[in-house]
Formats: sequence, C-alpha cells, structure tokens
Amino acid sequence: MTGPFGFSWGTFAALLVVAGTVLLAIVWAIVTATRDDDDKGGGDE
Amino acid sequence: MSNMAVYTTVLTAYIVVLVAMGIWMGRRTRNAEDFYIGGRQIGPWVTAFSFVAAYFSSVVIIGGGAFGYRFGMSTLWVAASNVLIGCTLAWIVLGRRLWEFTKRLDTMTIPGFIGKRYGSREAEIFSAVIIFVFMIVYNVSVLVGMGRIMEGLMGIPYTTAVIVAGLIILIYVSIGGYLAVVWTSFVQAWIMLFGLFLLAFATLSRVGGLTAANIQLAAIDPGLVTTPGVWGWSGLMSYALIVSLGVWGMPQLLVRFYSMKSTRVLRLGVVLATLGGAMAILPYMTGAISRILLPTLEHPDLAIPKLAQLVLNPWGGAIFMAGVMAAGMSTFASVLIIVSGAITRDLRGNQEERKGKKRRPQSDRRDVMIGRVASLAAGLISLAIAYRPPGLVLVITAFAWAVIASACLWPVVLGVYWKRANSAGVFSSMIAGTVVALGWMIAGKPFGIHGFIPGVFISLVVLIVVSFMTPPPDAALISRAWGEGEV
Repeated sequence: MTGPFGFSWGTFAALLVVAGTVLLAIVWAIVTATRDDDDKGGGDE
Repeated sequence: MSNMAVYTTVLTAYIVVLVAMGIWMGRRTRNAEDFYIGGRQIGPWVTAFSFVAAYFSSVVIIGGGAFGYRFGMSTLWVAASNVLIGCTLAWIVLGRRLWEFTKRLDTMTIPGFIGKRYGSREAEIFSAVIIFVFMIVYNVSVLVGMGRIMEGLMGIPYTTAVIVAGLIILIYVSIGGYLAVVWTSFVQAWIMLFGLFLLAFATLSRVGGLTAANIQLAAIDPGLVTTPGVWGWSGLMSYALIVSLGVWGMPQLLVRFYSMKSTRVLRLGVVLATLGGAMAILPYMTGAISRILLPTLEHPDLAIPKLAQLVLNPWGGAIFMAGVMAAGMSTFASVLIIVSGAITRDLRGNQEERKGKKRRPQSDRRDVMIGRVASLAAGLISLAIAYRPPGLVLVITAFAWAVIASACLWPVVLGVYWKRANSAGVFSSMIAGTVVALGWMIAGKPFGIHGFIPGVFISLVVLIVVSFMTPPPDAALISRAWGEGEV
C-alpha cells in the first residue's frame, strides 16, 4: 500500500520520526529552561 | 566564463575565507585549553552548527548518496536515526553531564576524561591509541569523499584534489586550533546546507517532484521505495546504528559539549542541532533519485557528483562543491584536533601535572606548539593513505566508527551515569569491544551484521559484569567526578 508522495508507509514513517524529533527537541528545551529557572541552576555563565 | 573558471573562482574565494579565519583565530589561541576546546567559551549557534558540520561530512553526502543510489528510499531511516539518536538524544543524554564532568575533572579530551573518571592511566592510553589510529582511518574516508567530488565536478585528478583539500585544512587547523575549527565549521555548515538544498531542489524539479520520483523508482525495482527494501534489515539496522549511536562515542563530536560556555547553551543548541541534523534526509533522498537520472553508474560514490553535474548550472555546481568541501573540511579539521589531543595530552601526558608541579606560561606555549605539530603530522599521514584510497567511502567510515565506538561509547556514557563503573570494568570493556568489533569485521561480517553491533554489545556486557565482580571505585574519585560535597 502506497503512502504520501508515493513512499511506502514504512519509508514515510522515517520522515515522521524526523518531524517528531524536532518537536521533542523543542519540548525538551522549554522544559529544561523552566526547570533551570526554578532551580536557579544550569551552569555558570 | 568557462565552467573551470567558475569552479576555481568560487573555490578560491572560499579557501581564502577559511585560511583568513584560521589566522585570525590563531591570534586568539594562547594556551592548550584555547587550542583544544576554545577556552570553554562557545555559544549555542556555533556549538550546534559546528556539531552538525563535524557530524555530516563529505562521507554522509558522497557515501550517503551512494547508499541511496544502491538501496533506495529505505536509507531515509538512516537519516532519521541520525537526527533522533545522533543529534537530539546525544545532546539531551550526554550534553549536560559531559560538560559538568569534564569541568570538574579538569580535562579536555575523551581519553583524559576516561583516565580521570576511572583513575586508570591504562584506559586513558588505550583509548588514545584507538582514537589516534582509527580517527586517521576516518579522516582518510573524509579526504576520499572530497577528492571524489572535485574529480567528478572539476575533472581534476583525484590525487591533486586530495592534496589541495588536505593542505588547506592543515594550514588553518595548525594555526587556529579548535577556535578556527568551530568557527570555520559554523560557516561551513551553512554552505553545506545551502548546497544540499540546491541539489535536492534541482533534482526534484528534473524528475517532476517527489511522487513522480517514487513512482519511477518503484518501476525500476519496487524494493527501492519500501523498507527495508533491497537492503534488508541487518544491513539497514547496522548502518543506521553505527552512524547514529556511534556518535555517543565519537570524540570529535563529544568535544562540542565540553567546549560550551555553559549548560544553558544546550537549550537553544539542541533545537538548532536537530534542525541542522534533519538535513541528513537530503543526500540519501537525492542519492536514491539519482538512480532514475543516472541508471548505469560505474561507481555508486559518483552518484552525487555526477548528479550535481547533470542538474546544476556551473555556478550551482560550484556552490554545491563548496558545500561538500565544507562538509569534508569541517570534519577533517575536527578530527585533526582530536588526534592531536590524543598524542599531546593523553599519550604524552601532562608531565608537570603528574609531577605535581605548577604550570608555567612557557608550558602553555610549548603545548600549543606541540599540538600544532601533532595536528600537522596526523593530517599528513591521512593524506598519504588517501593518496591510494582503500575502498568505498562509507565502508571505511563505518569500519573506523565501529572500532572507536566499541572502545569508547560505554566508558563515556556509563562514566557519567553509573558510579559503580570502575577501572577494571572499563579497561576490559574497551579491549573486549575493540577485539570483537575488529574480529567480526575481519571474519567478513557474519549474518550481514556489521562489527559495530557485537562490538558495542560485548563492550557493555563486559563493563557491567567486570565492574560488579571487582571492588567499587575509590569514593574520593566518585565524589570529585559527581561534584559531591561541593558548596
């Protein structure tokens, strides 16, 4: 069965993983910033 | 203006900028910490994009394109694992801890970290030797990639191309050290990204878009658009893991974490590195599509250079070539600094520190000079081997990464997460991982599995088992590494 853009679904899933990873990075950055602000930590600057 | 004149103009302008940056940064390099880790003063943009540039060398562009050509769209999974495991998770899992540990232990190389974290000079020397030997092997593959692209696009002999590229890098690395490496890598990452987008856009336009490309590929062989397709699971999984999980043991990438000016760099850095890393999709995809436009290539490594020649005009081709050169140069330069550090810091050792003496200014100057000479020597050895290339670009890379990761990956990861990991465990793990990885590859990769997989697996098992069977590490050593008792 063919997925979007003529990819097989198994191959298209690789592109979804990339998109999901970008989302993960953004969420982690926000969570870390919030936690560091609460802790007043995060390394010396 | 002839094609050759266009290529020469673009390349010359690019090289002048790099050498100027090397000389400029050389003036800011005053001591060994500046030379090897930029004085721990690097911000998020430069850290992230120099990470991406060092990660995605000419190997990924030329070698990844070649794999795309041979195995089709399933290679997009290699790109996905590059982004998820090689970029994002590496930053999240290792970034903060490595920065903190190397700062507390006052070390600026991976062997140095291993030596101090585990209190083992043997482990430090062993990892430095492995890094020295196999990083040079890796550098050979990077040079071969650059030579192939200049040969394919400019029509100049491969050997001339390799010598020109190698000598330029040697000049700016030996003068400017790590600061030159990260700043040139930052610039190179943008040139590389632009070049890859240019090629992908021109290629897709030529074949009528992505859907049309997939339909045409499926007509050649349905296995070129499915996963695992013509490659098969063992080959796909092996390579995906080598070039993604392998990052976790690669000193030229890990150094980016402990050269940051603070752990706050990680927040923006992880997003930028992930976005930059996502470009790994492009060479695999364009390599796969090149099968439609270049169905009878004699050597898969020529897929991307020939494709660029076919679909880009001379100016576009010249910019793309600068991009691939940028990718190769940034990686080669990063590796040279690491190899130099392995010789001067880890194998030679810090004589004064060992004798308990206070460092003197002339020692700093001497260390920087020795670092420059060592990076020059390592580069010349790589050049000599690359003169007669021993195999496919990505195959050489995978070989070198497999051995380095088998020796260094778990000692680094468990070194910052598991207090019970001790010197006996880490030393036996390094030897077992190296022997198994090498042995597996010499045996011809049984079951189609690359030596990386058994090497890294055995290394993990041995480290855990031997650490449990032997006395725990010294409490003072652990306190210092974990920063316990600090105010």
